[in-house]
Amino acid sequence: MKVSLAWIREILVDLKATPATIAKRLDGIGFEVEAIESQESTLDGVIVGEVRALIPHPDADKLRIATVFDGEAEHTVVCGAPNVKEGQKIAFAPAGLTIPNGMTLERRKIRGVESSGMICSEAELDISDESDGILVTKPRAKPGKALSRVEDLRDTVYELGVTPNRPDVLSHHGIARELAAAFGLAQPKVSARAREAGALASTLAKIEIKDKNRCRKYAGRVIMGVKVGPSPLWVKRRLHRIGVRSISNVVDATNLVLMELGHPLHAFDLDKLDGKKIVVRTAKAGEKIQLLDETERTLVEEDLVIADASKPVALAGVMGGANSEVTDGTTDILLESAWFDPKSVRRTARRHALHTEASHRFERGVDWEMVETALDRCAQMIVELAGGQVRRGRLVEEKSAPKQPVVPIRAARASMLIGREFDKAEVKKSLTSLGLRPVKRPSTTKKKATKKKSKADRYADAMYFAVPSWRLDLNLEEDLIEEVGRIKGYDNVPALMPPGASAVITAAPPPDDEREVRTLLAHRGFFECISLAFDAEKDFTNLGLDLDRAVELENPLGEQTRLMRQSLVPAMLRAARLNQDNLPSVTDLALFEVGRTFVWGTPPGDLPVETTRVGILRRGRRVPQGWSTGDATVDTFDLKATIESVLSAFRVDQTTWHRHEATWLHPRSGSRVEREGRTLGRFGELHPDVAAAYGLDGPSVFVAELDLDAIAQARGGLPRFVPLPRLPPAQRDLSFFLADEVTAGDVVRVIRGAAAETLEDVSLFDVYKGKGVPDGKKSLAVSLTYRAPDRTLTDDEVRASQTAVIDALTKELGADVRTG
Amino acid sequence: MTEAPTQEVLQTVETQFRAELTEAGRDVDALQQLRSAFFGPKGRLTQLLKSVGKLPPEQRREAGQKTNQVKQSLQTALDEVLEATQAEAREKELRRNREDLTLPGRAATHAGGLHPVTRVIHEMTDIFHRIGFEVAGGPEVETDWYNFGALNFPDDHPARDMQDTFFVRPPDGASIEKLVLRTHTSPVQIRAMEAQGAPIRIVAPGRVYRCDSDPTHSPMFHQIEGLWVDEGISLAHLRGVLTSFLNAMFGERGVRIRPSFFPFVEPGVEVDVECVFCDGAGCNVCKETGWMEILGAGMVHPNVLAACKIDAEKYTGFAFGLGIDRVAMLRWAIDDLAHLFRSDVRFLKQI
Repeated sequence: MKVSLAWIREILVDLKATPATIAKRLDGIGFEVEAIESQESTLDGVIVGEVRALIPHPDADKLRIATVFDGEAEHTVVCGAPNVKEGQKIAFAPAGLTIPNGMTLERRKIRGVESSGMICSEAELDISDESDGILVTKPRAKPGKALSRVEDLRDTVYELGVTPNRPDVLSHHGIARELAAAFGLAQPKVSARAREAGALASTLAKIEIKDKNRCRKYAGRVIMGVKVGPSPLWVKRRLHRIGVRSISNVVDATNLVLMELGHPLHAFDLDKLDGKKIVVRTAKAGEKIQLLDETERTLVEEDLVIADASKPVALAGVMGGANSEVTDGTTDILLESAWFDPKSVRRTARRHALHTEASHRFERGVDWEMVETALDRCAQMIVELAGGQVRRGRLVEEKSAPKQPVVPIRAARASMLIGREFDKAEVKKSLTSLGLRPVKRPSTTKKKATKKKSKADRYADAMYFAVPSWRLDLNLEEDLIEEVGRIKGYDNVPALMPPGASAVITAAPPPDDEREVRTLLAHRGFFECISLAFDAEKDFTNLGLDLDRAVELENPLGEQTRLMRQSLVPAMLRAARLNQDNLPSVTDLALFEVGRTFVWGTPPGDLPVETTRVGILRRGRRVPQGWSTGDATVDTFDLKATIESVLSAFRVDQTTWHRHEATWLHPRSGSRVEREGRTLGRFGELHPDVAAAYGLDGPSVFVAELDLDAIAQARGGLPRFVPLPRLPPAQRDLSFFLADEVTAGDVVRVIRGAAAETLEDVSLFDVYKGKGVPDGKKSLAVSLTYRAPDRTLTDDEVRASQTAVIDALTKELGADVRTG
Repeated sequence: MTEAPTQEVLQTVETQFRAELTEAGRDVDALQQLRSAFFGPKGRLTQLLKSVGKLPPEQRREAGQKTNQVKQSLQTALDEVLEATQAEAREKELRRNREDLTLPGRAATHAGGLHPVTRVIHEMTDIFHRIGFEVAGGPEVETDWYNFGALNFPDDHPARDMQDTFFVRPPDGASIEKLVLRTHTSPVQIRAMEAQGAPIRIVAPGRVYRCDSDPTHSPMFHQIEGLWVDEGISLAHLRGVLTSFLNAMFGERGVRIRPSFFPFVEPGVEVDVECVFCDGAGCNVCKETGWMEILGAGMVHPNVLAACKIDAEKYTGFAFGLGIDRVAMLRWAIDDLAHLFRSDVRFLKQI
């Protein structure tokens, strides 16, 4: 919100502080000063000039050549404005100056005549919207004087951030109230008296409220005989300065009062109101209204409208209708000032995607006491700007006023909560400076009193304050404590560590699963990504995900981000594509992400199921390209090693590895790792069709997705130390041919089943296919380690076990054992 | 032929030995030859020593001593030269095929690294843990109640406009509470207080979502939430904890608090830290104010405590929340928020 300091000073005449001090104090009491603009400095260099001569331009009909005296020298200025006259005192911007509209003036030829400097309009100087013709200043102004002094344009405009709990400061009067408290000045008063004449307003128009819950009060005044036209310059300037467009004297009057007092007003053309009547009612379904923004809206029964005898003429609290708009021909006005239910206005504004100065205030809540004050002030303003007479009496329909609370505050509680001492006098002074009124402790009924005895006792020492009508945010003791703290400022609050702040650190932090896996993968050569958690429907179909259980947004930013991701893989593939496009020559990539996936349970629970997963992607060389490294590229086993390192870091044991069929995985390598039937992760080479769908060409892509929640739950306990073996092992190697489809896992299982108990370890050290191995077969070599904890094994013992192993391999797996 | 080891003979032998030693120079073979020529079984000095026995008994002692002295001294001289020669040869051997260590090291793995946001989260949670907070979490898809209602955002209140909200479509046929993507980490406050009651001290880092996308806003970003509820907790404690956190994070610098508004705290404040770029002098980053708005905070609103069934008269507390992504951007001078979520390795490599 833009606030003019000159305007504030008119309201709060005792405010003498400098603009900088005021800005600092505004910040200090909770109104963030987002920008400060000094009109004096934006007009720096613009001076009063005197038009000493004016001749037609020889080569252009619409241009004239002025001789402008700047107090010291004369300048030739080519000017196109029709209202330049000899002898005028005008706003002169000399060559070289950058004027507020951003233009830097240079000496240049205009149609063959050199022009130096510029005679400016108000719009060019950003003083008002006025762009028809130049600014003509006072006839007695001395050439060379700063224009800002002559025209009294020395104002400072603050751009303030006002939080949604404070509708009462959405006006100059509201800010003045806050500054009065902050600087210890008396609270400002509003002077609002409409001079009345002629007939009783009640004979000229009628008001009826059909929904008194949503419109608690509607007040109107009738003004007859106005002459609608442009506003005087001071009004245009004032509105322009705070960013409001000047429309006409009548509309400007409503905006001036809105910006001064914070209460929205609306002027209807009385002649356009059917039956000279205002009816506040809910809309009929399908009813239409053309609004002032030139859009037509179809209304629903929920919408509250202002109607005349036959049709809606305004969307209540949001925007007026075109059919009752004040236009040049308007002579009689019905001025509206009302109190609408905040929720009702908010719903209607949101439904129609409208946000206006009026709806902004009504939906936050306006001051009940201001309804009639603002009405009178505005009626008088209209007469001042547009003539006419205010008819006698206000038209008022209302329900009871909303009750303002009486709130207790204990100085001790305030001191405790803020952490610095406040005495009763300080508390009282701070609150009264804000317009709160000290009152007696409200009496409670007997029944309540006994029931709440302990509570009442707590408040034995409390002071009680009545909250003024404009403060809708003060209901609890804490609210008042904040007011005291805010006005006193937080600079004197000490920085204290809470009692026991460090004593609680008695144990190491619980395991941070995410941190552990992230750190491990980063050290293993993967870069961590964080991607937006949204996917498109296409990602689901590409990867064969469960679209029926997808978590969908009602208001996505776009079709590409409509679904919450069910897998980390699509984002990883997009990342691979982006990096492929950025650096087509470098295809080595190792990425991971730790994040949640979202899916509806079957049946859906209250919330979707969120699972923390680890996505891993690799492609390209196994080790970085260098002067002495090979060019071997990664394959599924490199990926598996990475997964094994994660499982081993979490000490997950008893894992089993299985083939896994999935749309996104290559059938030759798609795999799944499980523990006790629960899937811990899926991985393999990316299916070539999926790679193509994401535009990935070049080396194969290997992807894994691990379920970190499942892995963390399977986390093993601390290992126990086993005494180091004192006796030597016996080691035996075996090599044999096997049918291709027999897996290494089968071999290890059979060996472990057949060997003696003293078998300590089996390790597979060679797999070979090709020359010397029959078609459809492969050659495997394993090393078996035997050891007994208490004795040296004899050769016979080991041989017996080996024989059993060979026997089992032959019988169960059809192995053709070659050495043993 | 055997001569007696007279003074002259010994003199001659020594002169001859030294001449030959000089001549042999650094030639290991020549030196070995010299050794056998003088000290070998048939060497000159060996012979001389043997001849001592043939002298008359009264001369043997002196002649023996003298000969031995000469032998010792010559042998030492030879050993020294030989040792030096061998050391030189070994040194030369060691220096053969010197490696060009300006060549890059041979990396066994690719370079990898943690995301800047993760680094900041780790740093922050470590600091808060040292102060005495535990880490808590909650779902990213939240109910309207946890995200707004319990946090004292009334229905249909403009305070909700402070956060552009993504709404989640309920599954077909399910009648469940209105769901949103959490717009802040504050719902974790409620979940933690419901689960644990008071006293409580938690921080909760995590992803949050707002329906907003422009150069300075991402629809997904990160926050860390903090909550400390106990008997007698005041705004001064908030100031103490956040000052020590900010000092740990950004170095010793000024911290100030200003009144502000968040529905779930009362009083509500903004906490500013002296600009990390200009140390308070005023620069582009801090818009010439010398201060950076870094977090929102306040004393937990009694309505929030009540929603979690905590006695608001007995317990008070403070809560705070701050944006992690902006801290990461400040820390590494990252000029565009979009870099953080684009997974561009050229960016990730730099951090």
